Parts: sequence; C-alpha cells; structure tokens
Amino acid sequence: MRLRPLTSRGPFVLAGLLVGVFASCDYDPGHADLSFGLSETTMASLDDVGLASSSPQVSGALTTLFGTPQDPHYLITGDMLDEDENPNLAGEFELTEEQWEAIARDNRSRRFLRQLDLIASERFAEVPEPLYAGDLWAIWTRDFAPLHTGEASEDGGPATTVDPASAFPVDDLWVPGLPEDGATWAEAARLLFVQWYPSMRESAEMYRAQCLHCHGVDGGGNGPTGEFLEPRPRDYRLGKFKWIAVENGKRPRRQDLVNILMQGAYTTAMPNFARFSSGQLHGLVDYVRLLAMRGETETRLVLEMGDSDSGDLPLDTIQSTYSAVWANWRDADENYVAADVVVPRWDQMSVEDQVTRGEHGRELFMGTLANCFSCHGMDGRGADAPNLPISLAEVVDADDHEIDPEYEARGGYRWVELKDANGQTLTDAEGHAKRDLYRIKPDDWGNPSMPRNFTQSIFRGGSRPIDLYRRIKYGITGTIMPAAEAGISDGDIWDLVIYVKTLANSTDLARVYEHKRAALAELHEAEHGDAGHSNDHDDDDDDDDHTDTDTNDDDASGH
Amino acid sequence: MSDPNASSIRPGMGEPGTTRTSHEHHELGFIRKYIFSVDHKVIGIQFMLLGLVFFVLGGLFAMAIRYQLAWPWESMPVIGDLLFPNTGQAITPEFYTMLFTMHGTIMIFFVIIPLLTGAFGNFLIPLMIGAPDMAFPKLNMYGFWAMIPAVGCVFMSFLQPGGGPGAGWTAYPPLSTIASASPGSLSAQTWWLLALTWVGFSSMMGAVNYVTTIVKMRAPGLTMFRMPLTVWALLIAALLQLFALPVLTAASMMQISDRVFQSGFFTPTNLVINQINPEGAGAAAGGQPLLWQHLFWFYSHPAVYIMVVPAMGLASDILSVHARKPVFGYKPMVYSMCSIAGLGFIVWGHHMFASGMNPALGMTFMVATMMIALPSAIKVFNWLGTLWGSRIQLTTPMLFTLGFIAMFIIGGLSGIWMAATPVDIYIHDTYIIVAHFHYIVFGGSVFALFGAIYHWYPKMFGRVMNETLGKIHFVGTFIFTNGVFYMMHQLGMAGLMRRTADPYDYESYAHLQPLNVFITISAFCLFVWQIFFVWNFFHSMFWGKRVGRNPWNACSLEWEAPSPPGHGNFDSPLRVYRGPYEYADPSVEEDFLAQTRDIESK
Amino acid sequence: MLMRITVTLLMAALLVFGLVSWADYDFWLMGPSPSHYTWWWPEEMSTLGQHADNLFWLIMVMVTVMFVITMGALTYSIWKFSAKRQDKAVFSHGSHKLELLWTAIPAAMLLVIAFSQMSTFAAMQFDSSMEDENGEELPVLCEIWASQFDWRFRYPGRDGRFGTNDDFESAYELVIPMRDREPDHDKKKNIFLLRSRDVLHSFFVPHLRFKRDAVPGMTQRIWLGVDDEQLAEIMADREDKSFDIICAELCGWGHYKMSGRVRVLPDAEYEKWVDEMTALQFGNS
Repeated sequence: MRLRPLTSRGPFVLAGLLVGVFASCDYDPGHADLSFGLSETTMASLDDVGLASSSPQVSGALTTLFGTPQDPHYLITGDMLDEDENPNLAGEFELTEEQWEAIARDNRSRRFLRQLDLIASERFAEVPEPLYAGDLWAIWTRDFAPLHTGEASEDGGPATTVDPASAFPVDDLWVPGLPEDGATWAEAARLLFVQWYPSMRESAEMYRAQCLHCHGVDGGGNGPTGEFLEPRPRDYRLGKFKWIAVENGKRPRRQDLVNILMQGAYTTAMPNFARFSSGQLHGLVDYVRLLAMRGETETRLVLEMGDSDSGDLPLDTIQSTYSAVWANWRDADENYVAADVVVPRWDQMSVEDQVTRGEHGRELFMGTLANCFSCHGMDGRGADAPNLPISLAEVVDADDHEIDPEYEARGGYRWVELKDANGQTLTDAEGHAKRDLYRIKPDDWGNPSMPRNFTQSIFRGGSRPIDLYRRIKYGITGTIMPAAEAGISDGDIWDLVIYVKTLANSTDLARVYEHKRAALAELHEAEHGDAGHSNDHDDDDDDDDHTDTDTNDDDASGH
Repeated sequence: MSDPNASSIRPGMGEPGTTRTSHEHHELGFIRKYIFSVDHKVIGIQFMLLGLVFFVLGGLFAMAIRYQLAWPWESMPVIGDLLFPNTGQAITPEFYTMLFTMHGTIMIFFVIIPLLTGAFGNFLIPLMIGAPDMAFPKLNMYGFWAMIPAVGCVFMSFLQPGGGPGAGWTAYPPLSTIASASPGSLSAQTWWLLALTWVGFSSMMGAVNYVTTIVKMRAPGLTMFRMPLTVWALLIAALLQLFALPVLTAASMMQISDRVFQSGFFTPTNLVINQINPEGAGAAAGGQPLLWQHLFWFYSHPAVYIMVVPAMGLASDILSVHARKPVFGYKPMVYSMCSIAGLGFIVWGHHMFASGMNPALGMTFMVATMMIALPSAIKVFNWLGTLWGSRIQLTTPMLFTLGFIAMFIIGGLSGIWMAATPVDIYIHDTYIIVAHFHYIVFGGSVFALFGAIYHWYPKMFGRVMNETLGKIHFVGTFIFTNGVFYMMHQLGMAGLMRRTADPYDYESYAHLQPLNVFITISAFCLFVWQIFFVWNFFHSMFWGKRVGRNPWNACSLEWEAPSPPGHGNFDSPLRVYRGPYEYADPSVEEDFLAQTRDIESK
Repeated sequence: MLMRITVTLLMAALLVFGLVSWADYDFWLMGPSPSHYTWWWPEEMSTLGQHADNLFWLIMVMVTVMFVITMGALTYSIWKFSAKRQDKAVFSHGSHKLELLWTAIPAAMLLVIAFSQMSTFAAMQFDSSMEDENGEELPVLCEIWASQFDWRFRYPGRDGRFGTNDDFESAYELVIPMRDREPDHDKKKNIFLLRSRDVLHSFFVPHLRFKRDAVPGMTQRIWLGVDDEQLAEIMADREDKSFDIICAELCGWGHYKMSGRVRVLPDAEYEKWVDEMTALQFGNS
C-alpha cells in the first residue's frame, strides 16, 4: 500500500503554527505566585509535641500579620494606633531627613537618569518603564497620560497634547514634595521620579529578582543557589545579623542593613547592591525586616503553642508576640553603640607609640584575659591554621556513625595531629601520625565556626578601625566570638585593633609585590649599572621578611 | 548508464580505486547493517541523525537563554514548573550559566563538528574519491560509537548537583577547577571534561581514517588536484584535528587532574574561593590560569576552522553544480584553505588580547590574525568569480549556498575589528563577538550544512527533498538568522557583555531590553521555522520523489554510484580523466562533463 | 521567477540594511533612549580612546567598501545570472591576473590596518607606557581587587604606600583624579594594580575603552588616563558624574551582579575626597 504524500498540506499547517509565534510578539510574561511557608525547624518542633496538624494555625496567623509575598504588609495593632505608628509606611515615618535627601539625590542621579533626561527634553511618551517600580508606572500612565503627546486618546478622538510647561490642577494628582501652586506638568513629572520610594510590594518584587535565589522566599537562606554557597546566605528568620553596630544579640538598625547592601559582605557571595538607588535599598531593607520579623514571630508562636496544652493559639498570644517582636525592631536604633568613641589616628601617631601599643595588643592577644589566640591561633590565621585551635571544636569518634556528611562536606570536621610537649608529632606502632577528629562547633545558624584569618586582610564587616573595635568590644551576634570581658578597657581594645591590623598589613600583597619589584630592579642595576649606586635601598628592603608577630616596624616604615 | 571504461580496468581486490564486485553478497542482519555498521554511508547517516538530535537540544538551550535575556527572572515556560518551583518558575543564575555553557558545548562538539566531519566526511569522502569504503571501516565504526560515551557523559553532567557545568564552553580555570567556585564545578565539570575527551577520541579516529583514505584510496586517474574541494577541505580539517586535538586532550587531562587528584597546573596560590582555600584543603598550587587559555585556544582556534573549512568545501561544490560553471580558481581555493590551516595554528592568542598575556605576544598574534583574513577573502572572491557569467539554478541547495556566502561575508568582515587590538580591547567578549561567530558558525557552517543535506539527500536516500518546502525553509531561515544575529552587533557596540544573565540593572545596558526582545522573538521564529526542515527531511525519506543516480547533472564521482549506493559503493570500475567541475564545457554537447567520461577514446 | 526576485530582494535588503544600520543607529528597535546611550558605543573619554575609535572608523571605511563590493556583486550576479536561458555558462577556470589582484589589494589593506594600530597598542599596554622619562615606574594610585562578585578599590592613603594604617577601601566606586594640573596630555596617567582574589574577572570601563582580565596569582600594572576636554563635554549634559565598571569575564553564577562605578574628579576635588575617605576611615559612624 502506498501512503499518500502529505507535502501539499504541510506548508499551511506550519504557517498556522508560525502565525501563532508572531502573535506572541506582544508577549509579556509574568511569574507564578510565591507563597510563604513554615520553616523546617517549625515543622520539626511541632512534630515533637504532636501538634503537626496545627501548623495551619501558625501559618494563618503569620499571613494575617505579615501578608503574602504578593501583598506583604504589617498588621496594624491597637498599640501602633495609640502611638501613631504605621509600619506599612516604613519609609515615610522612619527615615531621617538626610536619608530622604540621599534617596532623592540617588534617584535623580542614577536610577532614573534615563527617564529624567527624557522628561527634561519633553519626550514624555518615550519614558521607559522603570524596573521594579510598578506603582510608579501606574501613577505615570494614569495621571500623566495627557503628557503622552501624539498618542490617540482612548475613545478614538484626536491625539491629545498638553503643554508640559502649563500649570496643572493640583487636585488631580498628588506628587510628594510638589509645591502647591505654580507647579508645571514637567516639574510634577520630574518630582514623581525623584521622590519615588518603593512600596513594600515593589520591594518584594525586587527581592524576588535580586535576592530570592539565595535567601529564599521566606528569607531562610535556603534559595536554590544558597546550597552551593559557603558561607550560607543569612537566615533572616532568627532575627540575628552579624555586621551590626548594636549590642550583641540585639536587632540590627536599618542603617546596618543598608550598609551591608552598599558594601556587600566581602569575599562571600553577597555582593554589594550599590548600583540601585538608596530608595530601593531602603525598600529592600523594609522587606528584609518584614521577613525577619515574620520568622521570629513564627518561632515564638511555635514555642507558645508547645507551651499550651491544647495546641491552640489564642488571639491575644498572637498579638502580644507580634508586639514584642515589633518592639525589638522598632527600638533597634536605641541600641546603637560606640557612636561617640574617639578613634585614635594612628596614621598621625609616632612610630614609638605604634610599636608600644601594638606590642601591648600582642600581649593581650596571647593573654588569657582577651583569649584571642584560643580561636584565632597564635599566628592569627584562625581557621586556616594547620593546627586547629581546640577551643573551637570538640573531639568526636571517627568510627562513630554520628558524623553528619553534610556538615563534613562544609568543612565541619578537621583532623588534628597529636603532638608531644616538644612539638613532635606522636606516631603509633606503624609509624602513622596519631590524630584526632574534631567537630567544629556550629554557630547559631548551624554553620561551622570559622575564625577569621587575619593575614588574609579580609574583614567582612568592614576593615575600618571602628568596625574592628565593635567586633572586639561587642562580639559578633550569633557566633562564638564573644563580647570583650569587662576587664578589658577601651584602650586595650584599640591596642588589639592595632595589632590585628599589623597582622593584616605585614602580609599585604601590594607591599610584598612592590618590594619584589624594587629588589629585581636593584638586581638588574647591580648587574648592568655602576656598582657604587646599589647600596642606597638596602635598609628599605630589610623589613619585608619580618612577618607577623615579632616586630612592628612595618608600620613605622610608613612614615 | 553505460561504462566506456569497463574494459580498461582490471577488477579485483587490492587494486586501489577499484570496486569489489562479486564478493560479500551475504545479507547482513539488521543490527550489523544499521546499528553496528562498518559501512561509511550508514555511519555518516548515524552521525547526521545524532547531530540533528543534538541540534534540537542545543537550540532549546539557546531559546532558554534568549528567554532570560528578553524577560529576565520571569516565569520560564515548561521547565519553570519542573525545575524551579521555589522561585516562581524563574530560572536561577547558576542554571543560566549551565545553559550557555552547554549550548556552546553541544553546538560545537555534538552538532557542527560531527555533522561536518562525521556525517559528510564519512558519507562523501569514499564516494567522491571513488573508493569502496574507508581505509579502516572498523575504526570508522568505533569513531561513531566513541560518541555514545560522550553523550552519556554529557547527560551525566546534567544529573550532578548544580545541574551541569557552568564555566562556559571555554572552561577557564580556576572557575572550572575549584569545586567551590561555581555550582557547576562540583562534579559536573569532570563529566564535561570526560565528554570532551570522548569526542576527541571520536574525532581522532575519524581524522586518521580520512587522511589515510584520501591519500591511499583514490580512484585511478584522480590526482590530488582533481579532487573535489570538499575532499580537500575535509583532508585539511582532518589534519587540523590530528595536530590540534592531542593538545586539547592533554589540557583536559590536566584539568581533570587538577579537579580529581588536586594537582595544581592551573591553580595559583593564595586563592580564597567561597571561604575555601584550595591549598588549605590539600590541593597543590602555584599554577597559572593563563596556561589553560593557551592550551585550550591552541586547540580551539584550529577547531574554529575545523568548523568552517569543510563548510567552505561543501559550499564550493554545491555552488559549482548549481551555477553550471567550473569553480573559479580551483588551485587558489586549495592554497587558501591550506594557508588558513597553517596560519590557524599561530593565531590562537587573539582570543587573549585582554587576558593579561604579554603585550608583545599580542602584537605578533595580531599580525598573524590580520593575515588569516586574506585567504578567506580570496575564497569569497573566487565564489563570486564562480557566479559571474554562470547559469544559476535556484534550487534549495543553491539558495542555502548563496546564503552561506552572504553570511560569510558579514561574519568575515566583522572579524577584522577583532584582529585590531585597540578595538578588540573594547569589543572583546561583548555581543559583537557573539554576532561574529554566530555569523560564521550558524550563518556559515549551518547554512552550508543545510545546503549539503538538500544536495546530497538524493544520494543518501534515493529520493529528493521537497523543493517548495525547502525554499520556504530557506527564506524564513535567512530572514530570522539576520534578525537574530545582525542585531547582536548593535548590542555589542553598546558594550553588552556575553554571559550576563540580567544586564538591565546597569546604566549602560538598561536601554537594550527592547532590542533583546526583538532578537528573542526572531530566535523563536528561527527555531520554529526549522519544522519545515524536520518535516521535509523525514517525510521525504519515505515519500519523496525517487530519482536516479545523478539528479543534479553533476560531474563528480559520487554521482556515478547508484542512489543510494549499495555495499561497496560503485557497481562498475572507475577511471578519472579530469577535474570535478567541468560544467559548460563547449567541447561536449551536454552541460556537464563527468569526471569518468572518456571523450578522447570515442 | 518568484524565487529569483525573492532571493535578489533578500540579498539587496541585507546589503541596504547592513549599511543603514551603521549609518543610522537610533531607530525604533532600540526603544526610547536618552542621548547618552544609544546602540552605538558610549562616549569616549580616555586619552587613548580616540585612537581606538579612529581605528574603528578606518576599518569601518575599508570594511564598508569591501562589503558593498562583495554583497553588491553577489546580489547582481544572482539577479543577472539566474535568468532562464538555454546557452551554457561561461567556461572559465579562473584568471591568474584577477587572483593576484584580489590577493594583493586586501593584503595591502590588512597590512595598513595591522601597522597603523601598533603604536596605540604599545602605548596602551607596554610596561614602558607606565614609566617616567627616567625609566622609573610611576607611583600606583590604587589597587583594584576583583572577587566573586565585588570590586574593591584600595587606596594607599596620604603616605602613598600600601600596607600601612592609613590605607582605605572603597567598595563599588573607583575615584580617579583628572590630572588637570598636568599640562602634558600624554602624561595624564593613573597607574593601578589589578588583582583577583579568586577566579578570573575582567575590569571593563566602556567609556574608557579599557578592558583587562584580573588573573588570580598575577599582579598587573595598568594605566588609565582621562581626557579632560572630552570628559567636560560628556559631563555637561549628565546629572550623574560616574560611569559603569563591568565584569567582562565569566566569574560564576553571580557574574551579572558584579558591577562598579568609576568617578573622575578634578585634582582639587580628588584631594578633598581623599581627605573625606581618610576621615571616614578613622571615623566612628
């Protein structure tokens, strides 16, 4: 049997398919709705008390309090009304004047440069839609539609043209910061973009595009990319943040979070986001704070639930928990520390002073009062030291099956060779080195604690003296880095800071590199140039081989 | 067809160029005949089907890339639901790195090279030189089956944590060697390297075979300068592979060693990647990342010519047949291909002008690179010379070949900016580069491949492909190809970098989204338009119009064999009297004078 | 006949489009854009960028000529020689003279391009471009550190030396002096050390026409010079006085996030900025 050829019909079928493709030219994709979930810890602890079936109560309460990713908001409580607070207008009532000015300046200079240029040249119809700013665009298209010169109006009438210089009726639209009288359409259009502060919903959208793939929908640090990162992305739900300028364990200030967005956490996968306007960054901070509060509330609600026998969540429990969490965050600014300390200008300090103070810092570092060496090691190399500082870890039995493979893959276990009093490695009968397996203690987020290696000159929370001072004085929230003992004075802390910076400076690559080049040039000169000339730089070259702990003359040579 | 030479040839085994006639009449089973076949034609078609399947896969990756660039972080159709339930169906950044890595890898190592040297090299070489089969038929079979472990390794790499390698098809260390540097470098990268090594095996076996076959098994009278340009091109590509592949294999072994045995060829000291210092974890260090770039480009620049020289050969043949005119300047064509191959080994550094390589080396590579533009120019002029005064038959293969020439002109000319170092500093790794090499590889090689498939399809299956569908296929492909790739020049001029998942947050790039949307829609259309080809290809296999031995009235030897040729290819002994392009010869009445036709003895 | 017209039109369209797209580069496909950014390259402001741009235009002229000749010949032959006719094509195997002609002319053009760029390239990249008249190396302004996925710029502070306590860091923003006190155009050089902490990165400033990979394990001296007249022209109609820094070498999943800005200040303002940064370094905010 012969089959009939199909080719004659083929083109038409296929052309139909293609028309479908062409029709998709106006395609404007969206994205699927996200939804908040409950954390694994929540589910586990509910399971423990046999209340797993009550989890909808918790998530329902959280939805009421904090909304959904599409519509994030805070529930307004009676207390807030009494005190005239509205956290949903976060930017409006919390930002200082300077911050507002910075936002307006940034919006004007960078984020909306394109739009403002077009407004200035009165090409209103061409103003492109801004990224992550849905509300702004809605206002633009609704209220400023007449400015879209040359486009036919909706009812098919002739194209409307409004002189952008003409004053407009103020009642028609509201643009923050606009003078009441004499304002023109062009001024209003300009101000609209300059004064833009994202709503919570817009920030959630920006979080989705920029942050979610690492930090996860709930802010649990469990986004799809997060599992490949070391250190893991921050889990906001504990409410703890490391690089803050408040007392240990307290909630971060808004400015602390903005700083991290502006600076990034150096050498981690957290980059800086300074390419966005400060308005957007403040908006992101609003949303991160919401996620953190939501997570904290979740944890507390679960505890409350476990405490009650019935497994019910009474309304007043929810409300008091929410108020308590909210109060912590609201008052974060009050915990700001070290705002008035005087930072010693040791770039203007005499060499003798630096040496003396650095030496004092070294004594403290090695001493049992400050006890720095017990984690950061005698040489300051922290977790990278060949012999792990043992106060960080506990011995575990290598043959025991309790070794967590995931924790192991993240560097959570370490073999350490046993040494006798003379520093000789102990060996067993077969000549193999004796060694113990240590499990490095986890921090509050379950990551292995990795004390900083100072010789890499990497300080994630900032490398300025004041940053180091805060780390030493107040410790690092959530980690085993404690706040300084009461017996350590401010002066002692500054000496420690000087010593730590010395450790970092002495292995500075740029400096080593400059020395190497100078030495090469000298060698070259000695070979080719006149012999009498080559002694001039000798004293300069001596100091690059002295490293770390024994001398401070590296600082001295800076003068 | 009567054979006037039959009496002059002594038939038998061992005589080069003659056919084995009366032997091997026993029927082979299905498996031996179509699966584990040693017949060069079956192997060629196997390569072709493999290449076309991967073409679809690589194309789908390209579509996903385009989708992300037009509408970043929006819901990805189909795969969004399957793979990204936690991000609102938007792809993740590491998945994007996997997409462009594997798009490049698949298109180069599993589509273009297998289609050109594997499919057409295998199918055409023995037929065009009048040989019954390859010199080493079993080696030929192993060559194809070495692709299967490669395919396995590629699919294994997708199953690894991280979802596939993410260091780009160039796999620059330390990103590719240090596991903590990228999700794709955990274990997927090792599988990727193994896949590359297997592809290398396959190419190597093929190359040895092609060179031997071409040198030793030509029909009597077929001197080197009577070979069709396709055979010349495939010979040159095989030589390029022979000399360049060992370097790639060695380099990928070094990278595997760095990854698995923690050696330190490419790992410098003092790295801190994702909190992990490789040295602290016991790896050796003190290596040099630039070493990989040198080794890799020492192979991969010649590989660029492996991807385009056979296409040039195929195009020259098709052009001459359908223009009914001898190739203009046969010997200059051969010499220019040879000089491309020779110069191709000393220009690899032009991929590294911005890499921190010694700038004095940059000067040398720049001059060599300028010079390699010359043979390509000569080839273009000769193709135009061939067309001048010809009698063009606008068949589908001819259309694709004309498209090839147009694309090659654009792709070749844009390459001159890249050779000029001060300009290249700016356009290095921008979309201009992407546009340039897609014009060469897609507009050039793939157009030539389409032309070749339409042209030699009757020889493969004994039926022609549908001409109407073929022409529709050409027009759409031509328009959309330019719609996609021409626009990329403009993206590149604006400074848009390759491999950027979401460029629009940059001030310099924010205005490029509308253009990217246009390109994406063109790309979708281009992809969908290939339905015409797929339909045509499989439909014609069973219901196409049957044709005889020589449907295009061509001169070269493959048209002397039956369509499709049986085992042993030729049913009568051959003797060659002239070059392969004797069209429009005034001394005979017909339009063409076949290579085997003896006009003097009549 | 239909096919003949179609193919000829396609080729002609490509020819015309190829020319128009370079001549008029601000049309509808681009969408709205202010004057600073088109689909052409951004304004040039470096002391050497003009040479690169001029070279680009030189090549552009040559390429356009070649493009018109070849595409024109292709289009014409397709139209002319695809007509239905009975006679045979011209029987020709080539022409030695023509071959020589079209080898020699492109070769000459390519050599012109090759040699006309050498001095620019040397001035851009050779070590000698970073020395003063006596062969001494010029002092380093700033150390550029690339890491996943951040740019860090470390300045030596007032004492001009790295690894001392008055070094300060700037994340994201690189600030360089215009060197407007230096009258000699060719000496307006700022020297940088380019480094990477982890994988390959590439330091790309489109406005300065500069790009160089940051290779881990290697310290590269590079220089950037800003042409103050060009800069003033650019700055005149811009509110923002800084320009994008882009990572141009794949550095992992977050490659697209790796951004920075470069801000060029007149010398006096630059000094002020250094003072500010030093104050910030020892500040307590």
